[in-house]
Order: sequence, then structure tokens, then C-alpha cells
Amino acid sequence: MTHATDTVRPSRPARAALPARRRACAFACLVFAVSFAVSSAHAQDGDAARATDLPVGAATDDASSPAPLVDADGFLRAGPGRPIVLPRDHGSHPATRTEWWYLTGPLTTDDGALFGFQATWFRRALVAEPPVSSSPLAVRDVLLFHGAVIDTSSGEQFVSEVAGRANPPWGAAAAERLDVRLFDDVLVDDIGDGRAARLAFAAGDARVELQLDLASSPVLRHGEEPGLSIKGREPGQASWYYTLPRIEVHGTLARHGDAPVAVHGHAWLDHEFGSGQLGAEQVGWDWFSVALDDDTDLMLYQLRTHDGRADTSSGTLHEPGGTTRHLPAERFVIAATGTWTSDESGITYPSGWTLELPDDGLSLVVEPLVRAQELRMQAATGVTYWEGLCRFTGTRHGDPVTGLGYVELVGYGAPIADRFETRPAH
Amino acid sequence: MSDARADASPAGRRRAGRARTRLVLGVLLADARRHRLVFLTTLLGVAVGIAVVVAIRLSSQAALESFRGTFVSLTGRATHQLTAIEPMDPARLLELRRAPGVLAVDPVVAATLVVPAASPEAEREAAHRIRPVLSDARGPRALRLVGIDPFQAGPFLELDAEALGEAADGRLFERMMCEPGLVAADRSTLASLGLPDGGDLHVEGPHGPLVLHAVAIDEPRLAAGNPPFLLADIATAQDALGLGDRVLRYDLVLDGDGSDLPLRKGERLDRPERRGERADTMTEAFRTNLQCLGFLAVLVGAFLAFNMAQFAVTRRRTLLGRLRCLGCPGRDLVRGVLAEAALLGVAGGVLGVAGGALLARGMVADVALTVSTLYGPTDGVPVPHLDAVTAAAAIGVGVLATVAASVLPARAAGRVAPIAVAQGASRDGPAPAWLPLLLLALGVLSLVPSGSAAILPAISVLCVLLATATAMPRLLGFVVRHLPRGPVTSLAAGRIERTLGRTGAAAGALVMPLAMTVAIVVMVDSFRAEVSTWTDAVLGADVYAKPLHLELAPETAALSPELVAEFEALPEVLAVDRLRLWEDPRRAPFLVAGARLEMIKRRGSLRVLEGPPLDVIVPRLLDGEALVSEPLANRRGLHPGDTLVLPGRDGDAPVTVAAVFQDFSFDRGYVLLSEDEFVRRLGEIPVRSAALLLREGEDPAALADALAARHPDVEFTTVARLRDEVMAAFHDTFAITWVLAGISTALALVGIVTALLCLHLERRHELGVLRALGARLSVVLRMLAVEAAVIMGTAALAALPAGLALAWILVAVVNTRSFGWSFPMAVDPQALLLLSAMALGASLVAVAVPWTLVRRTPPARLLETRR
Repeated sequence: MTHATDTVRPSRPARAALPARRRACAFACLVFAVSFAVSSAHAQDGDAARATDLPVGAATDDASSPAPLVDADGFLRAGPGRPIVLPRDHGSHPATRTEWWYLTGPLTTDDGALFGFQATWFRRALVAEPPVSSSPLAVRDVLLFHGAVIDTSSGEQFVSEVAGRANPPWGAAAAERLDVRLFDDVLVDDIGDGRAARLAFAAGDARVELQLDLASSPVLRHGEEPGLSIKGREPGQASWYYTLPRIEVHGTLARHGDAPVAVHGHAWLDHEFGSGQLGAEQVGWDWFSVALDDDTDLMLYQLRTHDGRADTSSGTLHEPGGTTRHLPAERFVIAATGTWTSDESGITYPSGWTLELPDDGLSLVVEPLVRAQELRMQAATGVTYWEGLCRFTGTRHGDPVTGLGYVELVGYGAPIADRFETRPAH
Repeated sequence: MSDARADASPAGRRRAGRARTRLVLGVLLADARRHRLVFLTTLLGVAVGIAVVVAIRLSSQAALESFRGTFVSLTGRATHQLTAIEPMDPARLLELRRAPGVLAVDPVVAATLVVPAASPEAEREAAHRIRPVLSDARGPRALRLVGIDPFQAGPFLELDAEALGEAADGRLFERMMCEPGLVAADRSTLASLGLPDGGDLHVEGPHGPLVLHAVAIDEPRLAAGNPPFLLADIATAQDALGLGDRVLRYDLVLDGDGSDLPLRKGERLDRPERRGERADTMTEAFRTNLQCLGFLAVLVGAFLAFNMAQFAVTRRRTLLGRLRCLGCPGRDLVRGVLAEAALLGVAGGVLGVAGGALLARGMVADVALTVSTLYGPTDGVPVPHLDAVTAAAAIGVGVLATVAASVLPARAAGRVAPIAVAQGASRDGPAPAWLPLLLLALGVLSLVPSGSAAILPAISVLCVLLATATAMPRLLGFVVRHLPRGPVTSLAAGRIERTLGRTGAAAGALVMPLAMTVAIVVMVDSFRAEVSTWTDAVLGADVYAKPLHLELAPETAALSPELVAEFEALPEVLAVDRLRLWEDPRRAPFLVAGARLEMIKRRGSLRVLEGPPLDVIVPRLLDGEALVSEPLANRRGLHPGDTLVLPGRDGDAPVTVAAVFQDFSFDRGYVLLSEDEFVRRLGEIPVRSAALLLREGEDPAALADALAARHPDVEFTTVARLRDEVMAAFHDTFAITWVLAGISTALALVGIVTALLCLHLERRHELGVLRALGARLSVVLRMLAVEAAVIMGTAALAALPAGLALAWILVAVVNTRSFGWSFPMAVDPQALLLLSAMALGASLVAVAVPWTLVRRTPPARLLETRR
């Protein structure tokens, strides 16, 4: 299961020993049956606050904040009154059931070749309390890593998927500081001051090693209450969510076992944590992120329902002057301009969009640099989604702007909750 | 027939030939119906022979299938396995994942746990036995706990995803990971433990009792292990075994042979044995020897068929002559006789298959016990299943045996002249003289190659048996010619001489099981004598202590250091010898043992086969040299002064062989080191057993009882009881051998009785003439008795040298090559007595029927019976 069979090391002949050997891997899909932390099941569990059940590490340090929301399994749900504090909140939040660190961005080689990368760690707690065992490998949290690299000139895509327990030395998601790792896929702030980090991961036959200048990026705290992103109508259908949108990065990229080449670029880091954000009707989402060349940073998302409607949607606009503005749904319009159908999965995705933010004088056209950027993460999660590097062009108050950013389209093949909750063993 | 003759084309001739063959066959079968007793006896002989072979195959298949489970791996798709002497660092996984050529890695923690017996009495009863036992519902049961990392085991596991997916509400692996102590087992395994739907499972771990929570799933692969598997998350296995975060094994899928994988000191990279492969290699000698015994029964059956075919041809001379008079060519008679034999073979084969399937059910416990004693415990008494291949092969063997046995009689039938209508039974001759000589030469030649293949000595044994059997007619002729001539003996000799081919064949059928019995008796007696003296010599301590479940869970059962210290502090105890054992979990070619050598130093408990005296050996052992047991020395060609490479925690390192010692406890052989040397090489591996040497005048039984009362989880055995157990285990090893030899002998007796009966029926007219000429009944009866005694006595005489030759093959070739054990052949007079008794018994049985018939039949009736 580690390094998914269809996606990793495709050139090796002995792969023949592995294909279709995933019958027993089905469990991992079950393990991750809500692992994106977007399940509806627990979101419906009620809000019986059990503050006494809060695990160690629950972020309830503000005595004046409202009583925390706790789900039926004892996990802390996102609620008001808990500001994001960095660098502490770069670390893991074991009091919540789910959490992810999402890094995307463009990378350019010295000779101008353009690549995109994605490195994502998902953490999911299986139980609120650590299991009682003399083995340090007894599982409380599991981790899932998705890595992808796209070569925009050839369209070649490198993908990997790794699942494992968040127990050292195999995996870890440290609290209070940025250190999340699963085997050799690592995002770590070695010093712990939140100013720099190291990213290393494999995506298929590609290996990326980057230094991240965290201090070079502003911090966007999403939501009307900064840092609290509301996803549904019920209390607790929310996440704590912040972004470092334009981290300067440099390092190396190696492909097919060749010598690493120097790359530089910028990265978008999303960090989000909570316990069951999606409502029962919500089947997926479209998510846009871009750092424009006029220093504007924009994040928009819309959650979609079973009937194709855009449900809860919002965004964040970070203006060149440093102002960060929450964008409620009524302040922007997302319209698809085309579609693309995957030969592999048969799923049809929107492909190409216009983003209109009339009140902010921003109008953008979004075009994927490569249309085939679908990620078929079948081995562990069994989920297929589209996550790709796109070019954003348009105007801001009449001035041309452009930028490279990422778009994520989830839930087009199957409702994300259904997919994760009921995926049968294969 | 005339219609057929009219068509002269080749096709027409073939059709005519077939029609004639059918006609001949019909006539022969009608004749067989008239003599149904003889026909049925022959059928019985063939059927029993086939039944024995079928039963052996089915029961050994079932017993070995259970044993094969020892080598079944749940992670069977691994191309390689990385093991080390000591538990490994979990961080090694990261290095392995990065290593070139590694496509997948799965950390594994696996060990055997024991479900204690239902009652303390059953526990004690099981523990008293030093040999592995077939577990039953009352006794302790072993279970194999296999801890995997579900995230990484996917490419390795050979389990049904559907069964897993349905288990535990579809959350089996998730629950395994976050619920410590949760294990999954096949429903049948749990049902045998009284938990058909799962529940709390109380087991003994290496550090005491544990409670696991078992979830029942329907996955027979989990039950296919020996012992059956409990599947768990790696953390549960580590917790149960007290391993902390350590890993016992890494399973790998490698792209290549792994030669470029960097290994740490003490690590070994091996290809896992495929299911059954290793078991088949280990048990090859056992299976071959068993099948050889089985074929003895087929040979006896074939001889019976041959014998009966001879009788039939002789009896049917008139009938065959009539057929020739009617224009039936000789070749059609040959075909007819062979077709009748084939029908007999098919019928015997079908009956044999059915009987064999039944017989297998009776035999399987004995076979399993032998397998268990020789190779290790098996879980429960296996159930034999008849398969189509075995059934078809058995019927094929039946047809082949009867047709082959009927070739010579059929040729004789083909040569019957039309004039035979006017003649009665004729003389028949013995087999050609070159046949036994050729078979003997083949037998000797089979012994020349010195490899370890078990089949060649088995072929040799069968050749010697056949040579003896085919030589019987000539030997009988020789004996008859040299009988002291009196009126009665002359009559008897004349009768035998005229029917030498047939009586010789009957004697040949008898000589084979007799010779084999002699061989087995001599071999087992020699072996037993040697084991007995060896036991006396090596059991130098007074009380032996071992964990209750040492046999069931050899890797985890251990005596605690505190307990060993307690032994040492006992006032009655002079010294304590403690034994540490290391064995590759995948069953390496040999075992490594470390001992304090107290028994050797103080009591001289060692039989040195090659090497200097004990007072020289002991200092050498303390200096780091090793003792090597005979089977290992034989297999590796080791002698004192040679070196042997031993695995160690710091990597492989050579050790010098100080001496070769005698050992019958472990056929793979072992290396004995001093305890210090053992620990230096392999680390602080726990003490598996201890031997207490008591001070002068102390009572071992009293101390053993007192210790047993204090430590219920330890088995204490006095030397006297241990010796009994060794001999009982020895006896169990040959359980099935005796059964098979007995069946063959019984079969041969049936044959000889039938042969004499046929002879009597054929020649009772002569008896009538004798009586009419005034011979008293007592003379006739004496003549019959002499006849039987000559045949039986000759068979017994021939069986003795043949049996001794076979015993030599068993002792000097089979045992040495297959098991590595050597011992002198000792001929116990008991063997001769047994042989005489068997011959006498056979004579009495054989003569009883003709006697009874003659006594009951008036001379006039006897005279009437000429056909």
C-alpha cells in the first residue's frame, strides 16, 4: 500500500508482482473512510459538549473563549474564540479528528521549464484517547500523504500515495511545531521558530526537496472570524484554517532517477483542522488559490450539494497593501467555461473558469496548464479528484494581473462523503 | 465368429478379433462365476493392496497437509524476508524503503501463543509427554499470532478481501489498529476454542497470561496455519510479546535477488519457502518410506493376482483347449485373459479406493502422530479426503498390477493346444532364473549413488523383495528335491513339484511381508537398543524443568531468570545446567544450543562419536569451540577440527568443531556451545529448559513434586520418567510401520490359504485315488501338513536372509541418508522367534482349510471331482 502500486515507480519491471494485490488493502480505504475530515457522519453526531473528555493538546487555552464543541467521540470541533497563533498552530492539533497540511505551487528550473507540485499530509485520529499499550506503535492517528508533480511542457504527471500510522519512527505529526512526516515524505521546521521549513517528498518517479522561507509569506486567516472557516449551517461544521500564500521556495527536483535539477518558485501552504466539517448534503467542492503578480492573494471555494448547487462558499482576498478580507459567497461568482473528461476514470470535470469579484474589481480567467491533472488515489483512499496547476489572468481595477495557482475539484466522480464512508472492499 | 471370418479386410479382421476376445472374456467370466470363491479372494487381495496404498496416500497427505501449515505464511507474497538474531529496530523500515530494488516492505511480529488446557489435569497430562502431541479440545492449543502493519501489508497478504471487508462492520483493520488486543481468526479456529462468534481469548504469552479479544471472520487461510493464525496489528503483537517497538521480521518485495541490499550485522536475507515446499523437502524420506511400505501391499496383491491367474489358466486348460478347437487363435486367448485381469484390476481398484478411504480414517491418527513426533506438533487430528486423482491413480495401479501379473499366465493360455481338451492340469514351471538375479542386481545398484534422495533406497528395498519372491519357485524346487524321502514326504514333494510355478508364487507372496517384518523388527530393535543406551548415557541430571508449553510454543516459552536462580539456590541442588536454544524462525537447517555443560563436566553425559575424550573437549568448548550432533555432521561432512559458520548477532562467524556427538533428539542436527559462547554470539536468548543435578542421597521424585506444586507453569520430570517418555516417543515414530507390515502379512496369509485351497481343489481327485488305494486319512492329512510346512518353511527360510539384507539397507542406508542417524545392526533372537512363529501360524492357517475339506469329504466324492 505504501507507494501506491499504480502510481509509483512505473518503470520497474517487478511491478508485475504487485498489481491487483490490493484486495487486502481495502482496509486502508476503510481506515480513511472519512479521512479528509470532511465526512458528514460525525458532523451529525450532535454537539454534546464533553469538555472533560478533551484530549491533551486541545486548543482551549483562552479562558474567555466559549465552551468548546466536542463531538460524540470526544473530538474538538471548530468553533469561535480560538485565534490562530503561529508558529504554535503550524503543529498538529490532536484534539481534532482531522487535519491537513496542503502545499502547492509552481516550480521553475534555471532553464525556464515550469513544473507544479502538490504535497499533502492528512491526519486522522481513530480514537480520541491514546490506546493503552506497551507498544509505541499503537495507533491513535493515521497519516495519508498525497504527492504530485506535473511537467507542464510534456504533461507528464508523477503521483504517489502513502498511508501509515503517525507513530515515530514511521510517521509523526508533532504538536506545537511544524513537523509532519510519513516515512520519507517530510515537512519540518527544524528550528521550530516558524520562519523556515524543509519539504522533501516523492511523487512517483520524481523526488522534490525544497527549502521553504515561511517568513517570506503573509498569513491569511480565513473566515469571518479570522481563522474559523464555516462550512455548514450547524455549529461545528467548520474548520480552523489559515494559509501562507506565497512562500518563496528553492531546492531540487529529480525525475526518473536522473540527477536533481535546481528549482525555485513559490508555494501555497494551507493548514486546516477540525472535526467533521461537511454537511450531509454536501458532495464535494471546487477550490481556487492564486498568488497574483500584483501581490494579491486569493482563495475561493464553493461546496457543492447533491443537486449540483453551490452551497456554502466563501473566500479570502489578501490585497497588496496587506489587508485581508473575508469574501462571503455573494461577493464572487465562479463560472466554468469548459469541461474535460478523464480517459482513465471517465469522470467529467469543469475545466476553465471565470472568477468575478465585482466589489473588489477583480476579474480572472483560469486555465489549466495541463488538463490531465487528475489524481486517482485508488490504493489507500480510493478517491479520485482533480488538482492542478492553472494560469490565472485578468484585471484588477482595470490593470492586468496574472499568476500561477492551483485548483482542486473534489466529488465529481462520487460524492466525497459516500465515497469515503461506504467504499466497498475490492 | 463365422460372420467375422467372412470379412477379410483389415478392419473386418480387427472387428472379428474384438468379437472373439469378447467371446473368450465371456467364457472366462462364466468360469470365474463358477469358481467365485477363488475369484473373490483374488479380488480381495488386489483390493486390499490398493486400499493400503490409497490409505497411506490419503492419511499421509492429510497429516502432512496439517504439517505443511507450519510453513504457511499470511504474507505469502513476499519475495524475501529479512531476519536478525535479535529483534530489529523499527527505524530499519525507513532504510529498507529507501534501498534500491525494494518495492514494498512490511514489518512483521509473529510468535506462538498457547491457549491453556481446559483443566489443570489435562494441562499436566499434555506436559508430561516430551513428544509433540496432536492437540485435542481438552489439551492446550497453540495459536500463531501474526502482527502486521495493515498499511504496508497489502502487497503481501494472501487473504480474502471480502472476508476482511465484512468483518467487524467493515472496520476490521481500523479496529485492530486502535483497539489494542484485538485479533482476527477464522471462525472454525475460534469455534474449536468454544468461541464461534469471537470473544475474549485467554492465552499464555511469554510474560504470562493475556486476554485478547478475538473477532471471528470467514477466512480459511487463517485456519490453514499450523498452528492456526491470529491476525493482529503489529502493536498488539508487540504488546503481547513484550517487544516494545521492536520488529521480528521484515517481509520484502524485491526487484531482483536482493544481493545489493545492504544488511546490518546479524541480519539475514532469505527467500521465503513457498507453501509446502519446505515441508515436502523435510518429509521426503518419511513419505517415500511410507509409500514403499504401501507398495509392499500392492506387490503382495499383484503376486496373489499372478498366482490366481496361474491357477485359473491351469484349471481352464480344458476350457481353453475347447476354445482353440472352435478356431479361436492363441492371441485371442491372451487378450481374453488380460481383459479378465484388467476387469479384476478395475473392480479391485474401485473396491480398494473405497476401502482405502475408510482405512485412511483409521490410520490418519497414527500417521499424524509419526509426523508430529518426527517433525513437530500438528494441530488436531487431520481428516483425510479422497480426491479424484488418487482414486484414478489407484485404479490405474490396480489394473497395471493385475494385467502385469497376468502376462505370463496369459501367454501360457495362448499356448494351450486344442489337444488340451483331453488333458487335465499340467506341470507349470518357475519364473526364469535370470529374473531374481536381475532384480537383485538392480537393488544393489540402487544403493550405489550416495545422495540423500530417499527414493533409491526404497527402490532397492522393493527390488530385494521382488528378487526373493521371484526366486521362491526355484528355491522351493530345490528344497523339495532335497527333502528326506519317506512315503508321505514323497507324495507331498511330488505334488509341490508338479505345481512349482503356482505354489512358488504363493510362497513368493508370503515371503515379501515376512522378510519386511524381519527387516523392520531388526531395524527397530537395533534402533531402540541404541536409543536406550544413548538415553541412559545423556540423561545425566536428576530433575528436568521446562515451561509447560515448550513444545507448542518453542520460540516464546522460557524459564525466567528468577526461577533458574531459585533452582540454583535449592539446598538439594548440586548444580544446574541450563539450555538456551536458538532456531531460525523459518526452521533453519540446524539448531544452536548453549549449555553450562554441568552435565557433561560432572556426569560425563555425552556420547562422543568422533573426537578427543571428554576432559579434552570441555576446555575446548569453554574456549569457544562447538560440539556437532551426528545428523548435522553427516549431512555437512563435518569432523573434529573442521569449521562451521554460525549466524550471530554480529554476523556470521565460524566455529571450530571439537567433536561429533551422538544425538537422536533432533534429525536436523544441532550445534552445542558453552553458554558463554552462545550468549556472546547470539545474545541473552532466554533459558528454554534446565537440568538439576542433585546432591548425593537427595530424592529426585520428591523434589520434582515439591517444585511442581510451587510452579504450576513449569513441568518437572525425573530422569526415570523422562527416559520412559523418550522410549514412548520412539515407539510412536513407528506406529504406522507396524500397522502396514501387519496388513501386508495378513494379506499374504489370505493369499497362501487361497493358493493351497486352489491346489487342493485342483488335485483332490488325487487324494481320492490315494484314499481309494487304501491310504489312511491320517496319511493324507500328514501329506497336506508336510506340503504346507515345506512351503511355509521355505518362505521363512528365504525371509530370514532377505529380511536381514533389508534390515541392513534400512539401518545403514535409509536411516543414515534420510535422518543422519547411525547405529549398529543388532539381530535379536526375538526376530527369529517371531519369524518362526509367523511361519508356523501361517502353516497352521494354510493347512486348516484343506484338512477340514478332506476330513469332511468321503473318498468317493473326491474321486468324482475330476474335471
